[in-house]
Amino acid sequence: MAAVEATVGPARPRRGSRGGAFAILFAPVSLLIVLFLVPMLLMVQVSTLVDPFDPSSGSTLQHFANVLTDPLNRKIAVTTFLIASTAMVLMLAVAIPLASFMVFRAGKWELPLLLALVVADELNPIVRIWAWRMILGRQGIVNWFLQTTRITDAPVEWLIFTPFAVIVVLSAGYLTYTTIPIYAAMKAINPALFEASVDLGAGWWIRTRKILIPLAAPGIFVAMILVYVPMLTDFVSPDLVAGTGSTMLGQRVTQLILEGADWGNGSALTFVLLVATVLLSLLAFRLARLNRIQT
Amino acid sequence: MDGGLAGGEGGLVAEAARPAGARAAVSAPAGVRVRRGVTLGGRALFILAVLAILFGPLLILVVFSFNDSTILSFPWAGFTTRWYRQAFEDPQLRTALLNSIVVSFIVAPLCLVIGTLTAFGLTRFRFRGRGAIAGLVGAPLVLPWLVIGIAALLAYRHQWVDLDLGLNTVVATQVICTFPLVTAIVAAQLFRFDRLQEEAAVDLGCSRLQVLRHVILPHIAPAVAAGAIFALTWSFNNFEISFFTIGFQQTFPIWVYSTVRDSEHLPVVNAISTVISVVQVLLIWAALKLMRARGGATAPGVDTRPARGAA
Amino acid sequence: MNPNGSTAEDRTGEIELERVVKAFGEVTAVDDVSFTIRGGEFFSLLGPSGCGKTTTLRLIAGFEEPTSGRILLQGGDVTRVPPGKRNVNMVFQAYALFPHMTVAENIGFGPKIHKLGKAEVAERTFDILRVVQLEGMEDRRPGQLSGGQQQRVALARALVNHPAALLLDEPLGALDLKLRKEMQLELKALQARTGTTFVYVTQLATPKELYQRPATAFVAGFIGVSNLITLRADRREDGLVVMDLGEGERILAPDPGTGGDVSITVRPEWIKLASGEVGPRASHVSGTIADVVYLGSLTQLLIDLRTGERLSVHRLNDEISAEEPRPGDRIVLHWAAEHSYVIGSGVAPAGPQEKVETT
Repeated sequence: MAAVEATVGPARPRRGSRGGAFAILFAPVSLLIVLFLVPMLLMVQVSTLVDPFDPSSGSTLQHFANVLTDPLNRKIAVTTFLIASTAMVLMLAVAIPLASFMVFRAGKWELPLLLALVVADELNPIVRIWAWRMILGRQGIVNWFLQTTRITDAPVEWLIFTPFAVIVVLSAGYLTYTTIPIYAAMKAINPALFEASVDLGAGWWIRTRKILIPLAAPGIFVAMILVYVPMLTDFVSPDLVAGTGSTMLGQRVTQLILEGADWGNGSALTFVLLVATVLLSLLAFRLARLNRIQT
Repeated sequence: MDGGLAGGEGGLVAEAARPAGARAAVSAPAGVRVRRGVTLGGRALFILAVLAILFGPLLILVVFSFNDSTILSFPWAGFTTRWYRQAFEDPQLRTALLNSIVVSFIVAPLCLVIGTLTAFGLTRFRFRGRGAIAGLVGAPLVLPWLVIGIAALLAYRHQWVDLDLGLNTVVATQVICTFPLVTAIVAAQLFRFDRLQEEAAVDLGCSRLQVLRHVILPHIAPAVAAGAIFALTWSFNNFEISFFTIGFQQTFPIWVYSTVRDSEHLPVVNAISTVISVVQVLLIWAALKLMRARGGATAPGVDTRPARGAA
Repeated sequence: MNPNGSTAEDRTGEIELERVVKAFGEVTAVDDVSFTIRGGEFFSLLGPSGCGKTTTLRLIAGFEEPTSGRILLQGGDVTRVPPGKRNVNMVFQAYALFPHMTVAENIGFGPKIHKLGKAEVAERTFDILRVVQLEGMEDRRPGQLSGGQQQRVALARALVNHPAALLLDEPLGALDLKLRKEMQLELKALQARTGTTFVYVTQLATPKELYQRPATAFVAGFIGVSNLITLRADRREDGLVVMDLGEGERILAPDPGTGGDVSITVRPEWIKLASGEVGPRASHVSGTIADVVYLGSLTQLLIDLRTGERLSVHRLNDEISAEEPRPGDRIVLHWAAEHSYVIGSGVAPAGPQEKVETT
């Protein structure tokens, strides 16, 4: 008797499919609507209220105008993009070789490395960021090392509470989510392609540039989607290791809403961030799709 | 093997290759030659660097948690466990820990149930609007937590809603953000599941419920369990959502956050963090073991019964 | 002169393996192999899986380095030369076409690496496309091509570099039967036209010669030849080796001159059911019918001899005979001495458990 083939694909429709689906999905969908969609809508509403605390106070777009024209916000936005982009580039510079190593050269170390990446990510993020403070701080490990080895006399100032610190912390924090999609994409590449290219005379550089990267590109795009947006809105990392010159958008929102009780501008800024991140995600998704190869 | 060939030059010559000593299937290792340039040492260095980035900070934390000094740095002032004692005597920390545990132990089962239900609903039925619902379910995973947290805060404190912030609001919003993760994990497993096994069971007389209990659930149990552990850890670790929806109370991450910003007795943070991290590592390791255990056992649909009759 | 224009002295396209051994840890895949492939030849390596034929091919290509021994291309020692620098190209089992490049880009890959000018790359590409009959496909992607077309792109990609030898690793395995037969003919034609040495590794596609005249006893067993008999050399006369079975029964075969026992095989359709006198240069043996299998145009009789072998005899169903043979009947067989094909000395291998598909 022939082995039964696994059927992979969309589930076959069942009798009375509408009814069954409705029954099962009613609770989750209702919860999503009540606890997810409604708050979003309420936030949008608040951002258009004249008095954010009084829903009957009429509509206005003033908050949006404030938020979008405030030079401080502009500056913070630019800083945020620069920091996030730098961190992104840095992570790609590490993740791509790392993923490549894991897939092609690691052998028995491939799985432990993957495990290490996953486990590292499940540890408490606050704790991890705090640990970086101990490393980069004025009395931290790095400075201690530099001073005891007489490389410097005084603590290096720019290690902490500067954009540098934020970039390091962000990069370390999001490295796992950057590496894993790239790793998955590379794993799907047919290894015979590399042999074929070697047979035709390709050296290491050509193999990487013309075979590895183009075929891993969809994974690289997915990584960027997964990571760039959270970095833009991250407020914990900068809050713990950034200085006043490296404030990021997430912090600004928190400042407005929690410290300033400025719900109008705060919610407007949040909404702007929401729209921006959705657009970015869609764009990146599009690019990833376009790059997908029909094998 | 004698040299030379049987048959004419240019013709389709056949010569049986001499059977070598090995009859077993030999899979040759990848034939691409290793570059002489990048040495074994260079690669090992790279890997060590990556591991250092991932775990170094944590190791520092652990080391300093035993350092008998209030300054969180070298030089080493002696071994002590007093920070651990202080940690467990700190009432604020105890409350925060308790809150975290309570919240995560409520959130995880809720996510399990809702997430698994959703996974079933999305993979086993076909209906119009399925794509839209799937999108809705995936949305909390895609949108930034900052946005979700702020929106939740504004909604709860909105005049029309006027809910006090506390652990219940934390639970509510965390569940919404986490159950899609469980859905994703379980759906992936359901996707791979061979429906024919189910139909075979029905054919043999099982009721729908029995099919569920005896055929489907055992198959997805590891994925569900793994999802539960991830949900537990995620909830415990969660900062953003909790931060905005908890009001004046604290969970463990929030306690760490406020302590390192304002307070003095920082080594306590190291001590308790070490403990928590160890527990989490063990939990995650168990979860991954669970996921792999089933992954290898039986591929869906493979006929594992002994062959009958002529091949 | 060889097909590719080389003479006997010229070594263009010649491949030689000199006492090559390849071991992977404790497993020896290639055990002291030496042979020469002449330039311009279409050389096939046939064997069961795990016998080392693919490893041998990869040794020639340069993807494996021999544990000991030498590999020579055109007289030069290339044992330590990396695969990209040997003047041979490989066609991989599943074609390994670059999915993100067009057909033209795939083909142009090698020439571009060797820094040929744009014009020449284009010219070579179009030439080879014509040779493999894929004109007009240059802008397609591999995913848009059929299996046979992909196969030809793989060939083109290798041949465009004008290698001295082309190595083919089970290139037809993924194709259906009809396509496979067509491609076999095309490959032969291609090889003849280009004059390149082809080294072809496969498990399938046994030609008629191999079936009728297996080179060794092992080959015979592998490809499913039946009617393997160990001929005990009781006496030799008139250029024949004779095994006496008593009562006038005997099995004969042409004497290969090697002395000792021989293993032979007889084609099922050459064995006749005796009815009358049998000449002196014919084997003559009796047996019991074990099974009768009706196969449409012929009937297969399985007959157990006293010597223990089971012979398969084919009888055309062109007469309706009053006596249909039945299992248990005694029957007498004979066949001409020349139809005993000697496949080696010594004991014949046991008959195959299952037939290998011959195409």
